[in-house]
Amino acid sequence: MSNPLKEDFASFAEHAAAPDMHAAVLARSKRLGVRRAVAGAVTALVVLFGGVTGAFAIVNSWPEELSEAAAAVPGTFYYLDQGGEGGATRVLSWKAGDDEPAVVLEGDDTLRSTATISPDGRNIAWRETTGDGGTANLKVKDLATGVVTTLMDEFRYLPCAEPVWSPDSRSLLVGRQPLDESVGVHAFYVSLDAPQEFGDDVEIPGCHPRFVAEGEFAGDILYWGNGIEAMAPDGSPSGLDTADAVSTLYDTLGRTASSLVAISPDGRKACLSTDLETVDRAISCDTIVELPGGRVFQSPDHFSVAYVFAGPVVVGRSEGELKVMESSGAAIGTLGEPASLAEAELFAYAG
Amino acid sequence: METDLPAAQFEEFVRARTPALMRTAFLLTGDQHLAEDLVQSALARAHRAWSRIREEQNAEAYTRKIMYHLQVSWWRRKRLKEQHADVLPEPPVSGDSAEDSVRRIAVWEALARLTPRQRAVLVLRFYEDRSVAETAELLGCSEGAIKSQTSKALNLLRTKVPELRDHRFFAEGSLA
Repeated sequence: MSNPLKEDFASFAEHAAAPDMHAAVLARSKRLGVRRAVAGAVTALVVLFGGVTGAFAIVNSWPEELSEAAAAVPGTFYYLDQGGEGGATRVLSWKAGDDEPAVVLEGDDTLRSTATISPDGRNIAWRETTGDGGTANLKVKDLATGVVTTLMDEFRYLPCAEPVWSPDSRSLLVGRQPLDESVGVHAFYVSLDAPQEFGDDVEIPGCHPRFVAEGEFAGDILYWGNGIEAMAPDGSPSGLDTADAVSTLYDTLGRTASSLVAISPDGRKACLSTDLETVDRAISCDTIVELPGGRVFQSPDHFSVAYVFAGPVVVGRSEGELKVMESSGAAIGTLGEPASLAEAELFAYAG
Repeated sequence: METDLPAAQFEEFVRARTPALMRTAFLLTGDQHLAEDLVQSALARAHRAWSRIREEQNAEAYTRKIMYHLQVSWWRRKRLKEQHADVLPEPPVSGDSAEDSVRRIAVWEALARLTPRQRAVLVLRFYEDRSVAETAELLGCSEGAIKSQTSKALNLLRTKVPELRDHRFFAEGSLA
């Protein structure tokens, strides 16, 4: 069967000019070499210094301090389970010490990319796609009462700016396509207190916005552009220096980042999905870098590790265990998950 | 005077393969300047690894893989800047007929609406004739993700370019 797309591609490709770029390539290679050498030297010093002081930790051995680990994460972990037929998806919750997870929400595979738990753990929001026209409803479920509210009807969503809760858990920042058909990244606030009303517009020049919840940069928004970027609530540049985070990751590990997934409450650590990921849009992240500077804080040597920020502590998940560590990287302890969560993906912690 | 053999080999590789790499990069980015930048970035990394990859006879495969990864991972800002400027690169269109040209303009504009990953999947599958498994390996994701991305991308093309719906190749299910 002929393929018109192949013919179109071939026709377009004929228009690509091929300049002599040998000299430019050598110059770029040289710059790359210098950057890698500098970053490698800095990292080696950090590792050496950290090893001496105990401040740096890619933790290799884990104490079996179950009670301490459980006490450090008193809130709830949330997982996505796509074991159902036809993309049926469930959001599961589990607390340390529980025998089995509980089902929080059931829906289609849209949950996978849009379900988001409020920081206070009281609500879950998600986008419910309606028809083929790129429109959706924004839903919120009160996890205590089970009451579901439609916050927005039939808005034209922006896939790369999924709903994200504000730090006070009272409103969501939601990406939408502008009505004038122009292409760009626009977002707006929707408040739990005012369903069906568009709040303030926010122009974010990137995807996957995330709020800094506390500390010096509280209220600032980090987002994914050509790396990690940050802006203050009024749109001005944030004081949080994110410039080197992603390039350092590449230069030290040879790994490319594909998305910003989560940030620590103080905004000083970012968790990224990288080319280790085996899914097209990651809900969980595999590598944590520090901001500013971009030092690699946690990085797995295999594919199955995911991280979440649990208040001041960091939790890594691998092979049925949750490894709980302090913000310095020092180990607190290990928690075993129920076997029923083996196929589910950890994506959030709250409470 | 003694010739620096690896350097000469690399130069020969760059000169010989730039046209083919540029064609793919142009399809991935939709823009001549972005394509040049992408190819240069990938070749610079190939140069850093040249002593290893030239012995393994896989310099082009290595360079292409780097190129795909850079494109789907790093170029969003530039793409977004293009979008903010609301200026699409001029459609590089030629056709046997006016009908061909009109359709190709529509296809070009629809391609610009795809995510970098979706666009890369289409280029690998339908320009380079890569299998699902090869595409998954090159982009570092699962075969399921490739199938899903292919389906989404083709659906968008069908929506934006209605003429394609009538073609057997684009009929629902024909790519399963």
